[in-house]
Amino acid sequence: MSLRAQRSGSTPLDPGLRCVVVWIGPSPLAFDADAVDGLLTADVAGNASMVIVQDVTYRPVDVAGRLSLQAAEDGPDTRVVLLTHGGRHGSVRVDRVEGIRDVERSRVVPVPPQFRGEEQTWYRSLLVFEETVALLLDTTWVLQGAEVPEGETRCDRSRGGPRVINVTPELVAGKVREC
Amino acid sequence: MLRSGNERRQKAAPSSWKLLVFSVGGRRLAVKTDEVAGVSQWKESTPVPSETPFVSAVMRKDETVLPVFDLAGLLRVSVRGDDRLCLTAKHPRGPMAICIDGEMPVLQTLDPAAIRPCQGEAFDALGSFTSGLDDVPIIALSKLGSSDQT
Repeated sequence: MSLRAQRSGSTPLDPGLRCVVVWIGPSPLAFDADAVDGLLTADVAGNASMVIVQDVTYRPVDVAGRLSLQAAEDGPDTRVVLLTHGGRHGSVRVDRVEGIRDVERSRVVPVPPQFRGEEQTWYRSLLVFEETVALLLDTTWVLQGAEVPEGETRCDRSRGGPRVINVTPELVAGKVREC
Repeated sequence: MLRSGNERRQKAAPSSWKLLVFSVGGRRLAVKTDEVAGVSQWKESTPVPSETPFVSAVMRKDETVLPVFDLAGLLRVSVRGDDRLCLTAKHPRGPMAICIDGEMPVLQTLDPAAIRPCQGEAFDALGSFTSGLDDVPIIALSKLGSSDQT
C-alpha cells in the first residue's frame, strides 16, 4: 500500500502543507503528514486496543466518538492511522484514506470565527480543495485522547488487560513520501 | 434574480425599510437588504463537527469558505424545494451561508409604521409585519448565532 501525493493548487514552489486526507462518516478530515507514522489495514490491526510497532505503543484514539461522527462498519477500506507528535503516540481508525495532498498555504484557511465552541481546539485550519473542504485536525488534541488511563501504567496481559498486537514494520505503510 | 414586491414601484421614502422576504420550511421571514450579501444556488456543504449551536457545516463559495448557519434547524423545520437557495448574510464575524427554500425571495419596501415589536422568536428579531395572512418576523442577521439561544 503506497500513498501518492496530489498537489492542490498551481504553485509548485509554495512550500504549503502536506497532509493525509481521510474520511470518518460524512466528514473529510486531514492529519498533518509529518505526524503520520504509517497506516494499517483493518485486517492487520484487528480489534487490538493497542498497536506496537518497533517498540512504539500506539494507543487507540476514538476520534469518531470525540467528534460525534457515525463511523462506518469496518470494511476493506478501513485503515488505522498511526500518529506521533510531541512525544505522544496514538492510532486512529478511519473509514478510508483518500491519500496525501500537498496544499498551498493560500488554501489553508482559518476556521471561521462563527465556530466559537470547543471545536476551536479540534481543528488547526480548513483545507480548501477543488470541490470540498477538509478539516485539518489538531494533532495535539487528537493525541490527548491517547493518554494512558489513570491507574494503568503498563499493559498487563496476564490479568486480561488490553489486547495488544505487535506489528512488524513490513505491514505498515511507512512514513508518507511523495511518489 | 429577485422579484420586486412593490407593484406600484413608488420611490421609497428615505426612512422606509428595504427587506428581502424569503421562506424556510414554508415559513415566511424577512431580513434587511443591507444585511444580505447575496442570494445564489445552494451548493453542497461539508459537515463540521461542532459544539456551536446551529453552526455545523461550511460551504465553498468561489475561493472562500463560509460557515453555514442552520436556520431551518433553529426553526425546527426542513428546507423545501429541490433547488434550494443560499442566502449569504453579512455578519460581524464574517459572511455566513443560510439555506433557504427554493421559492424566489421577494424585495419589499416597508413603511416603518407597519413594523411591530416581535417577541417569542428563537432568534433576535427587529420586528414583524403583516403580509396577507402571515405575520412575518424580520430577523436581525447580524445577531444570528450570537445570543445564548442561538
